[in-house]
Amino acid sequence: VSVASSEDLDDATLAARAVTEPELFTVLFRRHVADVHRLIRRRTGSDALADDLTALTFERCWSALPRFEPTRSSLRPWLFRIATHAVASHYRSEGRRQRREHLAAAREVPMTVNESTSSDPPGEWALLVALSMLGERHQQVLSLRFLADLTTDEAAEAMQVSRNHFAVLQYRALTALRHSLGQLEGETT
Amino acid sequence: MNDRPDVLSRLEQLGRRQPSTLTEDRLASIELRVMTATLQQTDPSRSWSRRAMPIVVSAAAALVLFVVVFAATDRSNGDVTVSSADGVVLEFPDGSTVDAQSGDAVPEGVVIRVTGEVVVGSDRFGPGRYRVVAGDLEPIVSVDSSTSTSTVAVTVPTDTSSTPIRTTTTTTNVTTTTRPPTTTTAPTRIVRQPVRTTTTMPTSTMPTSTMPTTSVVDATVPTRPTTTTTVQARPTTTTSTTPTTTRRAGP
Repeated sequence: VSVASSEDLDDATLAARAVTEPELFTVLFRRHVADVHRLIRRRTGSDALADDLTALTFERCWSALPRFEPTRSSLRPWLFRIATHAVASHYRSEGRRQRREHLAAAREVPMTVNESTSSDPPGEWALLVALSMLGERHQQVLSLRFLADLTTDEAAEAMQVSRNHFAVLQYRALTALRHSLGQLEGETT
Repeated sequence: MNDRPDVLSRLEQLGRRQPSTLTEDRLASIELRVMTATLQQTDPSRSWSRRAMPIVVSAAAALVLFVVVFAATDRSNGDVTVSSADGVVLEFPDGSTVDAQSGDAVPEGVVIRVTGEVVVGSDRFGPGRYRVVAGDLEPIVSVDSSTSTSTVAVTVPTDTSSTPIRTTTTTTNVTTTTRPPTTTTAPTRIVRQPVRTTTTMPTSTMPTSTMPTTSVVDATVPTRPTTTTTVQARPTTTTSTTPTTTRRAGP
């Protein structure tokens, strides 16, 4: 099966066949790399780090592909979950000071702003730092819900929890973020 | 009241922001990395080596453990077994002597004194010569009794695994004056060992596979004029020796 002829296949089929036909994984990669990179870029604020973590996400995706179950989750939310896990793992391996320095450096290169949004929202740097200081599960919930362009149902599917459970997790994550952000901004002011 | 926007609205605002688009060259770089990693993971030889590595390491560890245990066990059994005990006397380091029986184990440091001719390993030697044995020892396979006397000094290394096999070479020129025995009915069974000067050669100078287990000393063994089996007096020997080290088989 050529790569060109497999463009029309859905994610589940591609994922199942890519296990034995690695060239089909290229199709999956090209189909989702932009979304994954955008999510990671929003979380990290750095193009270079986003490139690294995007590559890492797809490498882990390839390793875990035999365990992917299309009946439990779609590929895209599953992929986003791997991406948020990669980001959380990266921040966990960094110290708090390194994390701040890294995000501070990333702050120097502002993102391209949508026409509908104002330029450079206040406290974006503090928000990213506070987000990176949360527990991994809270990071994943907030990233999937607000930074990955997923609906609540899709985010719950990615976390493999029910919608209600996800709502509870989101509430707790927001509370934790609010607390972390308050501490951080209290320190900086 | 905090004038900053709420966390929720700030998150939503962050989610609406569009990062810089992924350029083609960066995309190609990411794809190259991913596909390289993918191919490495699917490489059967790589996966085989990855699976085989623990087995190889385990086997090597087991081999090392076996060698260590075997050496420790072998140390206690590093004796020479007497195959033929006709006319063989064992002299222990404490001075006691005993007639060897066939199958006796000869512990380290024991001097084997042989009457007549003896075959040690593939070497036969007999009257008028004695042999210094060092390193791996072979059992005495036959003894040909005669009126002459030979001495076999056995030195068993204490640790054959860690201590390299030493080749003991006697560099002494021994000139002996042998007095004829006063009686011929009973051969002298114990002979004082002449002063031996030995030089221990480093193992590296000789391959282990070609190292002899015994080294022959061309020397005339003095005989005692009496039939006593525990003669302590030295024979009348005139020895011109230039020793470098004096080595005596000991425990």
